[in-house]
Amino acid sequence: MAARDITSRKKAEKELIRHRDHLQELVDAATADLNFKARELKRALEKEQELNELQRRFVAMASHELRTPLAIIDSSAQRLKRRLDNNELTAENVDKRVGKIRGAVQRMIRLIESTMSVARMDEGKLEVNFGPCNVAEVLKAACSSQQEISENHIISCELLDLPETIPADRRALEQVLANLLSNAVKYAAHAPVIDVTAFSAVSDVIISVQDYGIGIDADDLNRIGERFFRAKTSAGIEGTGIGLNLVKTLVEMHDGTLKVESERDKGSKFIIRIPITRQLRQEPTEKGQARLF
Amino acid sequence: MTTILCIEDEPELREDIAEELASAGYDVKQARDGHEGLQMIINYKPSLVLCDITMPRKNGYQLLKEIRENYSIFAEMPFIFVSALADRERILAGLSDGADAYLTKPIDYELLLATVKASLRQIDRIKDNQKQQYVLDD
Repeated sequence: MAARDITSRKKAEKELIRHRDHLQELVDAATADLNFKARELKRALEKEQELNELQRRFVAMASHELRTPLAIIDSSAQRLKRRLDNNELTAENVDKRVGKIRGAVQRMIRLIESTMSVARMDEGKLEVNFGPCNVAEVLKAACSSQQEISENHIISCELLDLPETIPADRRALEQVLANLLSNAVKYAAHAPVIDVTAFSAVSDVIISVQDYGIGIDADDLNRIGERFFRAKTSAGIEGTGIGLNLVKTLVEMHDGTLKVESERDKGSKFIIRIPITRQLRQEPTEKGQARLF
Repeated sequence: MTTILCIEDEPELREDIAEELASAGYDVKQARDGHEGLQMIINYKPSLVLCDITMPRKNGYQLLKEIRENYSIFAEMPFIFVSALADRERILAGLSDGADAYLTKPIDYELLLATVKASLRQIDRIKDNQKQQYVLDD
């Protein structure tokens, strides 16, 4: 009987098994990695599709929102012409039409400015330039400007113990208040009273804009201020979902906060807090640049 | 006098449409949304309805659906959409949902008045035919 030395064969087999196992490990790792990447890709795709859908809806809503004030302007022009042709034009008619046209133009400007600001926000170019800002003056002007174009509403403005100035970007503050006030009017079409109050509390100025309109459901409250988000109660009311997102961003760029208290059919109260003093150095924020001068 | 109901949530536009129709000799009722509109259709039985689409509480589509499905007595009442939703798909959808005409904003008042007149004329013709039919049947 002849004996063969199979040590080298066994060794080769063992080596082969080791290689095979190693290869299997590599394949498993690569598969896991691929699966992970596929899931990531799927998530990114879904997010992209969701964003595209939101943007598509925004464009549709913005176009609809621009058409309505355009329709008001065009309607006024046609009515003016008709009255002129019929020799029925009076100074009162002209005055009424001018008011309507100016109100519609304000609506369009507001939408365009909000859209531009959101675009700047996305590019990280939204800026707030701090300077001494007379908050009482800005508030009075904002209320009066909204009152001028909302003749069916009564906007009361109560200002208590406000500092002469606060460090803030006047333009940004005007934008914040214009958005809050136009929302109050829009979402309280059948409730004419809008209450605006402002006062100082320790280190902040607190401004609140309260309406008694349709309100917001409790489960929507924590999403207020999200880009493109619109509360369930706003169904059928024009809007793009960018206004409050801009308000929140601008307030936060002032190191302030935006809070909402609301109940369906009872109305909403938007409360903003803005610090009365600022530190000397400002770090750029996530969504834009804050500058002191 | 022919009564027309104008349902529009934008007060400025609602007033203008009402003024234009009143100048043309119609009796005009106004409603601020679809919910109020439905009540006024029931109360005033208008000869024709002009209705916006995007409105709070009850939108134009919902109102039209309710009228067409639950109120057969208003089957002959022309229902015209007047909307800022001006893309072709929306117009086709509005007409296939049962609207008799679809006008877009900004509103061309001459076109609005012509559409209203044409719709009312059509209803008159239908009523005349029905009357003649009754006479022939008798």
